[in-house]
Amino acid sequence: MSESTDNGSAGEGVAVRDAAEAPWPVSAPAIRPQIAGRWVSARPPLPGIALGVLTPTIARPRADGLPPQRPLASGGTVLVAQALVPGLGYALLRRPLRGAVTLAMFVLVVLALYWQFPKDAKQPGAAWLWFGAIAAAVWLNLLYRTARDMQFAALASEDLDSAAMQQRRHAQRQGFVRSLCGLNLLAIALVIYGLNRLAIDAEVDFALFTRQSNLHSAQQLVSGLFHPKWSIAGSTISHYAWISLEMAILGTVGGAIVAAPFSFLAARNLMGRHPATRPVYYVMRFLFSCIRAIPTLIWGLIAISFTLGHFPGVIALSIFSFGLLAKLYSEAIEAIDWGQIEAVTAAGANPLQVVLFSVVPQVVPYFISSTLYSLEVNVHSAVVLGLIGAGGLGLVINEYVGTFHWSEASMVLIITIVMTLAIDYGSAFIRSRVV
Amino acid sequence: MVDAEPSHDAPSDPQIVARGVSKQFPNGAQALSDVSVDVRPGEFLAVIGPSGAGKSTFLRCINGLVRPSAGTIAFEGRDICRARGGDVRRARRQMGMIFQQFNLVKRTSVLQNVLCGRLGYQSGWRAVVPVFKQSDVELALAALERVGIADKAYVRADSLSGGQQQRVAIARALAQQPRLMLADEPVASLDPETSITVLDDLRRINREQGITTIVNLHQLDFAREYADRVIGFKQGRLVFDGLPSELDRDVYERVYR
Repeated sequence: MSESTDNGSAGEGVAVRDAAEAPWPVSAPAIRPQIAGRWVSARPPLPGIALGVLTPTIARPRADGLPPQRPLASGGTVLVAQALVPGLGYALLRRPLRGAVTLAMFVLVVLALYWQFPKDAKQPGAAWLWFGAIAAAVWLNLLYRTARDMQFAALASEDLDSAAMQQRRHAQRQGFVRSLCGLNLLAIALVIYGLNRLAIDAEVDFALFTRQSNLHSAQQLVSGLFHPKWSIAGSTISHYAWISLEMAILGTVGGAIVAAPFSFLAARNLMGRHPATRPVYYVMRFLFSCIRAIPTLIWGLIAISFTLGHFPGVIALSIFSFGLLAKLYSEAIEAIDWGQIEAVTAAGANPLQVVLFSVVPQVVPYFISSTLYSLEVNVHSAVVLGLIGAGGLGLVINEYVGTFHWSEASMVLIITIVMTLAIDYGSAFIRSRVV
Repeated sequence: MVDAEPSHDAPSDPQIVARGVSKQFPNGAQALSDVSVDVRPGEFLAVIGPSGAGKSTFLRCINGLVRPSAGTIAFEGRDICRARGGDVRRARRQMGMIFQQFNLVKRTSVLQNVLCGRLGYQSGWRAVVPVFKQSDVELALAALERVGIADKAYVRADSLSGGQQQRVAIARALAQQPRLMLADEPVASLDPETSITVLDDLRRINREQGITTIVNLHQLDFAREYADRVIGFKQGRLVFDGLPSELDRDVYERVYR
């Protein structure tokens, strides 16, 4: 018996070779490092029971120093068992806990499918096809995962020559089909559960496309969306798109005007140098974080509780822009070249002059860039604020969708998309020029 | 204009008197320990020493950018180290400073940069508003002319070459009408030919206007060629004070080993 096997601390390849020569079990377990997050044994593949490269060698190393237990069945048996009773295959691999979890997840998926099955469907064939496909995906996924677990284990237990390494790399490669098959059971259960909840909330179900009336309304929706009503474009732009844009611009300007002076108080390199001013820096930073933590929609709801109309929308956008811009501005200030400040200070300038002649020229391009970015964000937000009563495009989208005027809704959506794209590209262009 | 005239009443009196100056930074680094130097008016003083020897800290202590932890520095009889805000600024406007990285405000025009040298003289409402007197603008243009780049007055500072930028920095210092010129490794990021031009400019200004000049230098041959007097720092201590002709192998060993 070689020394390397006795102490079990030798390299992987050596340990495996020795184990292959020696009659099983060897005196000490040659425990493998963790591979892909799971423990595998160092045992060589058992002869005659491999199904392709699949060899069931998954087993936990035992704490008492004994060699890992042999699996209860061969690779093929494990896969068949897993296919018949999900989790049983893992139990045969002596991974009872994983088996139990798998079984529980599988039961959950089956229950979700059962609850959701459209029992009053007019075309049950389609429903069976749809749900059969989900069930098949779940089942294939389970088998795929089991097979891959065993494949990993088999590869890990082989001597690591170049061919095996290549094979392992091949096994680890995540192609599109592979990752599709590898979707987690939990994820699938969650998706089904989520779709179920959504369906209940929206009072539609998976039988949407199997019922004649729903099919009709769906057809109307799709055809409406593809036939925008061009005649309302002019009035929508002049009445509603302009209001949204106006709110965004005013909100951005309002936020920027307040943020500019405050950002200097939140710049670490200006305020963090002196013990007297350092608290100001922390307080400002905290304030900005708080403002940013509350989304524009909530600020809008708060502002609209005082009065309806565009003004609360502008206020909401201003408050959020203030939080955002003050942070971005102060970061621009923190990035300035301290040497330029030193030079102006050395010329005898007072602190205000230092800011005006050295800090401001350095940060203005970044201020402009950040403000334009904030305008982009605010154009998006202004449309959303329309939904809660601030007027503008959000308001008309809400109205048209609520009354099933799909063609009109489609037109408004097109205007919204064009407007936001125009603002985005325009501001990106200006920003690339300024900085 | 009155401020710019060097005081010739007592030429032998030292313009700068540093006594026992020490500086320990908050991170514990000891940049200067117990440095005492006198600098006479009109002198061209070269400061040599390896990196981190305290040369830059010494220069920054003279114009109050760095406050020494111990000792005093008097500029024309007034203590810089204990002076407060306004007094420090009044002292600073009489000391021009140029830097290794030029430290121009890159996005503004050359003229605007030179006018920064006049900021210390702005009084009343002008101290808080970026508006300069016509006389200041003329002074700035004259300073640019002295360093030979008056034609670049209205171009952006970062469009100039390194040598030109350093000359703008000299013009900015000249616009202060200083009585002392501090140069913190002014040629360390310039090529040899430009370095000679910049040092020639500094010495010409020193000779013609009698402006005391203190230059941190890495190159010993420059110190030997341009300086009236050389001091050497090593690990924050003054280890050499003598004439450029005394710079020999022995001094080199003392300062750099």
